[in-house]
Amino acid sequence: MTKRSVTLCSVGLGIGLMITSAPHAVLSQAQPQRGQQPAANAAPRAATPYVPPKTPWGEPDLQGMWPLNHLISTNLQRSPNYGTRRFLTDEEFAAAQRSAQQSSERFQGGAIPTADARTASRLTSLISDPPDGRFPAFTPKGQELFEKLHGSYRPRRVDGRDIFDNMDDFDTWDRCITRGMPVSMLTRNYNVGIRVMQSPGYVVMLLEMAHEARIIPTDGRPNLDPTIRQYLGESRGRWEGNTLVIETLNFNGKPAMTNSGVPGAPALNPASENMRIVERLTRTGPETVEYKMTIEDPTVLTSPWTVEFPWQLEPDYDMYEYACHEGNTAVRNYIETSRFERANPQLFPPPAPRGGGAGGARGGQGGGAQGGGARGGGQGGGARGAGGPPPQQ
Amino acid sequence: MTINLGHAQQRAAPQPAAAAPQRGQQPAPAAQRGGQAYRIDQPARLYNRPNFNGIWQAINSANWNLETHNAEALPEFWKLGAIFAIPAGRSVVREGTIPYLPEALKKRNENRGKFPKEDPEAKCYMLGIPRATYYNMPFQIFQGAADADLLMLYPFAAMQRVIAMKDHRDLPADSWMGKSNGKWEGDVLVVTTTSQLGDRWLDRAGNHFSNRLKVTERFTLLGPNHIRYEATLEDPETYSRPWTIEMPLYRVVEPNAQLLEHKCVPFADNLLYEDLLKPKP
Amino acid sequence: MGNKMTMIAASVVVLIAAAVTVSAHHSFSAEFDGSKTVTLEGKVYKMEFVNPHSWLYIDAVMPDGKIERWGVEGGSPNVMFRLGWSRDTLPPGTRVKVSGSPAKDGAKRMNSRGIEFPDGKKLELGGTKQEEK
Repeated sequence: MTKRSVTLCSVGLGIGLMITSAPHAVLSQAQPQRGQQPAANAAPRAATPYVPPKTPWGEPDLQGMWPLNHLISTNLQRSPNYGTRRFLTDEEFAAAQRSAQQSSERFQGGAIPTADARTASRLTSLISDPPDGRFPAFTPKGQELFEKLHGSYRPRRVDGRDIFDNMDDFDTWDRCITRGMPVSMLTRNYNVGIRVMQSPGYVVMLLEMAHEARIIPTDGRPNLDPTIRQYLGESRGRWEGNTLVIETLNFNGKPAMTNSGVPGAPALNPASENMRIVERLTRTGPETVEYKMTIEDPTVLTSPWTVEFPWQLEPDYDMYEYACHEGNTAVRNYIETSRFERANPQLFPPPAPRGGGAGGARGGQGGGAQGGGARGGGQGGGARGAGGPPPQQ
Repeated sequence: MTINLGHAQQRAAPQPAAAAPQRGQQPAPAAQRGGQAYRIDQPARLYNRPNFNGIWQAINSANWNLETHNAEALPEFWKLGAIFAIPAGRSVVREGTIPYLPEALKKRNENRGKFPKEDPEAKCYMLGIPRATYYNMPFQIFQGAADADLLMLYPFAAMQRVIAMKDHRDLPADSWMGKSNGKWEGDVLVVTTTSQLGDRWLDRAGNHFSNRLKVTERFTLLGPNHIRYEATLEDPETYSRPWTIEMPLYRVVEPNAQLLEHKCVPFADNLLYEDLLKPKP
Repeated sequence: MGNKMTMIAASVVVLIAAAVTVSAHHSFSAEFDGSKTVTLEGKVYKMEFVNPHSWLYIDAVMPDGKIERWGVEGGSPNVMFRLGWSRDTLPPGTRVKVSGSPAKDGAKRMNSRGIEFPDGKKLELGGTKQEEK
């Protein structure tokens, strides 16, 4: 089994990050074949600059399997009680480990497992900026786009009922087109495999969900004609010492910027064609990469936001094909069910009104009641359907 | 208020990757670095392997029909006029025609009548191997260290496949692109693909395969800008014996050639959900 | 490497993600009625390892003795594969008992909350996870 070393790095901002593994889940014997060591010493040590191996053509080698499983239990947005604190205390971390282990047992110990095993991290949130770890506010245009954007994570509602009637009622992920950016580089409950491959002049990131590839030329070519717009934009990479800096433009503005599939993320927030994403990747050890991503979209947001977290090498993680569209029953089933409900209102009275707003000037909302993304606690769709008395058989 | 969109003029000057010349490899000519030169003289070898890096494309009508075919109209698309007609093409099958078992031949002919609705291409389903190769869009091969896995990316339906050079385990269950296991036989890249979901089409003419298909491809560099591509198909449920297709692959040589997205799922909406969306005829 | 996963015998209903959207690719309650529970007993017809949701088709014996084929929605096969599942794990003919939330529109479809093996059999996952070839 691979030893999961306690890794620590000092990034320029002076942040130390620590990832450790939870002990073996008790119920399921079929733990993924990664080494699982309890947390060792928690004290940060001074970083000696790590010299990464190089590819044969002389670039830092980032290749390998870097799934984001170790972050499944870490919310995108920070709970307000942490304030500007980026790291958990020892007690909080121990509690997070227990919770992560329980979730692993629940999702993997059943007859048909439904989510990958997860461990806890010491981060209070993936977001490092704004300093409160919360999603920034919308511009007026952002608010307008927010109200028009719908999908299964935040459905269109008419007379208190979720409506699915045409393709605009689904977002690009419901339709199995793409998770889009930046969501594709953030964690979720399962299938967050990322494989990095390199060849002269290129870095390619293979994303498990959904069988997408990000091609990042590092050969110094100019940007793509801005007329061309793509779901994942168009990336250009360059090396600054041992750091790969990737700038991505040419977005088509169709995928949501966040969705509650990412634990602790706003349910469904819009992006525009003016989004620009800058990522920095630095290998900090044999099994770690420091990853930082800044997303700016002045059309939608009043300020940029940044996530920072370590990647963890898992050479034994098997990434499988995720052919989403070919087996996507959701579009048809949702539309047919929604039409059936509306045609038979006596069987399906509209549910009781939900508490809490559907967003507002502040772009961020926790996943919670929106029926997706709740981590660990297993809240979810069941509660939403239970508004009225059970229909007569 | 100035909005910094980070376009080219505002980016830091890029540092071109300085590829140190390897023994036996020609250094890239200065004109290629960031310039507008056609990419016609890639290094022939990379760490003592033939260098398949680049963007390639088949130039034929194999995706219409692997076997010989005449130019022909498609009557139901008369509104597209001459834009959408089948071009003529010679067979890419070495044996001439595909050696179907009798039941499989019947099925092929039935399939043909169901074009385009039953063609997985129309639904933006992943096409599998070998159809991804001769689909009429460029695809890209990425090759790194001498014994590293290769990668092939195909824009249509965002298909991808890793050519696994070491891990030759089978898949736990069939998938749309299957598992491609590769090895070097001298200077030939030999790739064996199995565990593809069956009942799919090899072209728009209804030629098909089952999940017992095994494809053995051979990639041979013919020169800096051509690959000889051969693919032998074996499927005891569909064909009476193995058969082989062959065609050249041509390098895309434009300056700064690159793949562009073809995430075609939205294009298939009306086809897949016609009864729900009721598109205008 | 953990190859085998043994299931607790029939007397215990084994939970999977209880009615959750957490692991769902999309929203549960748009399709299934969380306020109702259906329990079916029958034989596995086939297990389809498809994304975004796998489907377990069973030929269930209804109270009146008729057989009905039902589809039970499961999770992503990728997760299962990483735990050692394969095409041979749940062979046709395996007797199972399934409970879950039915489709709202009356289609023979449900989202599973648990699977039991009524004859006390244990679910053995394939020997070595994958075979060397």
